[in-house]
Amino acid sequence: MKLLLHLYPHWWRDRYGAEALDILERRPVTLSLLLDVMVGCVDAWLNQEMPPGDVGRTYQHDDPRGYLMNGNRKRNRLVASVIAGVLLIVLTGAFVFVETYRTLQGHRDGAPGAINVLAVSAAATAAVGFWVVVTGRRLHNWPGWPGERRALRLAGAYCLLGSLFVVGLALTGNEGFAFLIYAGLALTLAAATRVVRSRNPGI
Amino acid sequence: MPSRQQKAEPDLGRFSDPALVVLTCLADGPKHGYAILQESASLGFPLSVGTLYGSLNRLERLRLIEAEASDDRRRPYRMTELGVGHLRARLASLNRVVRYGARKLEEAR
Repeated sequence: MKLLLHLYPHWWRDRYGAEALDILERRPVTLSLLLDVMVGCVDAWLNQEMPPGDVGRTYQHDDPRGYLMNGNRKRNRLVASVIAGVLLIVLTGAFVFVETYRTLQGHRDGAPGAINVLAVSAAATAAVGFWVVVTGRRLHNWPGWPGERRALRLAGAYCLLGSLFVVGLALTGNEGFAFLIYAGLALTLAAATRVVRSRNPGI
Repeated sequence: MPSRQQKAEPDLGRFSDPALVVLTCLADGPKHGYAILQESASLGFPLSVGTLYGSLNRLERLRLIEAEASDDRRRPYRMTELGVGHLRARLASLNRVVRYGARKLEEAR
C-alpha cells in the first residue's frame, strides 16, 4: 500500500498520505481496495488544486481561477493517463489470464467464464489482419523497404485467416486446441518479423 | 430552471453525495479521516478511501471544511461557517424533496 501511495502526487502525500496509509493498513488488501486506491490516484493527478496559502509548496503557482496549481497541467494529465492506462492493461491482462486459465481447465468448477476470451481476442486479431489486408498502408514513420507492402498484406491475411480459424475452434468447444493455434500464430508472426528485420537492417 | 440560491451552490460534481456524507459526519465536531469512514459506514453510506480523500480535497478547496493542526498521523477536519451554511442548504433541499415525494405517494393512493 505504501508503494501504491507513492504513485500519488507529492502534495497529496504531504497532505493526506500519512493518514490514508494509517487507514489502509487497518484494512484487508482486496481487489476493490486496490482499484479504489488507483482510481483515487488518477483523480488526484487530474484535480491538483488547493486553496491559496493552504499547503505553501514551492512548486505551486497561481492559476487564473484563483487556486494554486501543483505542477504543470499537461504533465499532470499525462501522468494520470499513463497510470490509468497501466491500470487498464493490468486489469484486462488479469481478466484474460483468469478466463483463459478457466477455459483451458474446462471450467472444472462448473461455473462458465464471463466471455469466451479466446474468441474475443482472436476476433480482435482478425479485425487487425483485415484492416492490414484492406488498407495495406504503411505504418507511420515505418522505413520503406522493397516488398514491404506485399509482406504486410501477407502477414495481415495470415493473421485474418488464422484468427478466424481460432474463433471457429473456440466457439465449437475446442478451446484448448484453439489456444495452441492462437499461441502458434503469435509466435510465427513474431518469428517472421524477426527474420524480416534481420534481413533488412534499419527496419 | 435553477434558482439563484441553487446557482450559488458550490459544484462538487460526482463527489456531491460523498461530500454531503462527510459534512454530515463533521456536523457535531471535528473528526479525522478514519472516524469519518467509520461514521459513514454506520450511517449506511460507506465511503471508500479514495472517495473520502477526493471529497475532503474538494471540500477544502471550496473552503467548506478546513484541517486542524495536528502532530499525529491523523488530521482532524472541521466545518467552516461556509460549510455549515452549505450543509443546511443541502439538507433543506433534500427535506423538500422528501416531503414532496411523500405527499405525491400519499395522493397516488
